[in-house]
Amino acid sequence: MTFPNLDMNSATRPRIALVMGTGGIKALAGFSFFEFLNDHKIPIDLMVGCSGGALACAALGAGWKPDAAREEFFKRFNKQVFSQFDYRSVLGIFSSRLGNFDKTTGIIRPDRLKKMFHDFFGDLRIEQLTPRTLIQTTDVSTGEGVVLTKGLVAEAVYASCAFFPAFPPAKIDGRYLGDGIYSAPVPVMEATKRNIDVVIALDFKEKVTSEPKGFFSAFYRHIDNTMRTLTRSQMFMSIEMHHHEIVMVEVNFDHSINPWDLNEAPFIIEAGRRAVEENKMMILTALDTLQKRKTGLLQQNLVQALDSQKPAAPPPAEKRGESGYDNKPRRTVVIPDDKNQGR
Amino acid sequence: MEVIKEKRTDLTFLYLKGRLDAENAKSLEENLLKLIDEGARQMIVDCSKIDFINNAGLRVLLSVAKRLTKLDGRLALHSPSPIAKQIFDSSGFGMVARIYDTREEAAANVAHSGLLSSADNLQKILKNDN
Repeated sequence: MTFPNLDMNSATRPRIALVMGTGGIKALAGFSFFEFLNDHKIPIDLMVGCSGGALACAALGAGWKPDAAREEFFKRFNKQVFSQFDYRSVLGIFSSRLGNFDKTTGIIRPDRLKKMFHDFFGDLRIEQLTPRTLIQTTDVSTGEGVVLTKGLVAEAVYASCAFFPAFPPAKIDGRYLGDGIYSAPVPVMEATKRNIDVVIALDFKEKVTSEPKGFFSAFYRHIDNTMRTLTRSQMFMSIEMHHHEIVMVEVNFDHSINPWDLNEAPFIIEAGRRAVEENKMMILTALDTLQKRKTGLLQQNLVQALDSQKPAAPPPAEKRGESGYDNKPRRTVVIPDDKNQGR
Repeated sequence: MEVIKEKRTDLTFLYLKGRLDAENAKSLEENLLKLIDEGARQMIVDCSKIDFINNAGLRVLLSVAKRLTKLDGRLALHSPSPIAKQIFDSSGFGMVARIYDTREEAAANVAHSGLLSSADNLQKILKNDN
């Protein structure tokens, strides 16, 4: 297996987006792709994340090294974060006389999760993340996708992860924003809108064959299935819209993993590395193809620019006098070949 | 990418072999559109030998399918290779394109759509395979 020889310092290097979809802590498998691109000195121009993917993108954008961020998350995510029930809301599900449940409430109190994100990101703002990072959320009042491009990272990541009705949405700029899973589980369309040449879209998939047992398991499976259809529709629309490359990568898990399943850490890391191995040639080939195409376009534009500077076509011989020559200098255009361009 | 064409009465059978990506998408599109200009309306595409297909390749198939639909024709894909099947599925292409398990099924569905002159015609076409 040989890797294409990419020159990522050249003016024709493709602009790259890394999109990480929803998937709870499974999305931390996406760090392997970041490491792979870094190892090959391939710069990322944009990251777009949803839910667990938003957390992973924001951590990388905040400057955390993948290994350190992974370790920190696996340390902080524990069952206690998810076990503080809001009994007023829970009772409100059964009767409005017993409690209250509406679009601003959730079954689990969000304080611990919010604190965890605040401890991790502090007062960092989305505008400060490098590479530029966008966070997909959903307006729970309208169902519309809302992509956060500014504001506190901790707040935005919480909103993107606030899986309704488990967690209440976050109130940001007067809107109640919850888990991006409901509007764009793999927010590839956001990347295609932003003049990106190669979009690497990571879809974290549980390929589980067993029947779900219990309310939450059945509910989550239903959401997961619905989300698959939504992802496919949006992926298809992106392919229609986007005239460059979209590399779709499935990161597969053969069993369910809950956000608090810390013992799954090695399995998640392994799934990420396996997905990189399976898809690295596809990614590098897409980058190579785009770079060649951009080099070709650059040469074409150069030729056109030089052509436009050429003197106008000479008039017919009969109008130029008997000799037929206009004695003006000719311009010679030399086009460098692909192999030498930018290397 | 290798493209093998085979014309049988009303149907045009195509076999795509190799990688279908940005490098060869344009030439494949030109080839297929030329076939349409020459009168092909029912195209049945064997995808069993596709080693790889990306969004550039999917766009070609989509563009050909749209052109055929406008002309009351049809594009039917069949026998996708595992990689093609995975990409058709994850890209959502399978939601809009007709993808059949076998060549016979693809041809039968085109025939039953009323686009062929008669169902007998289909029997003749498939018999010729043996």
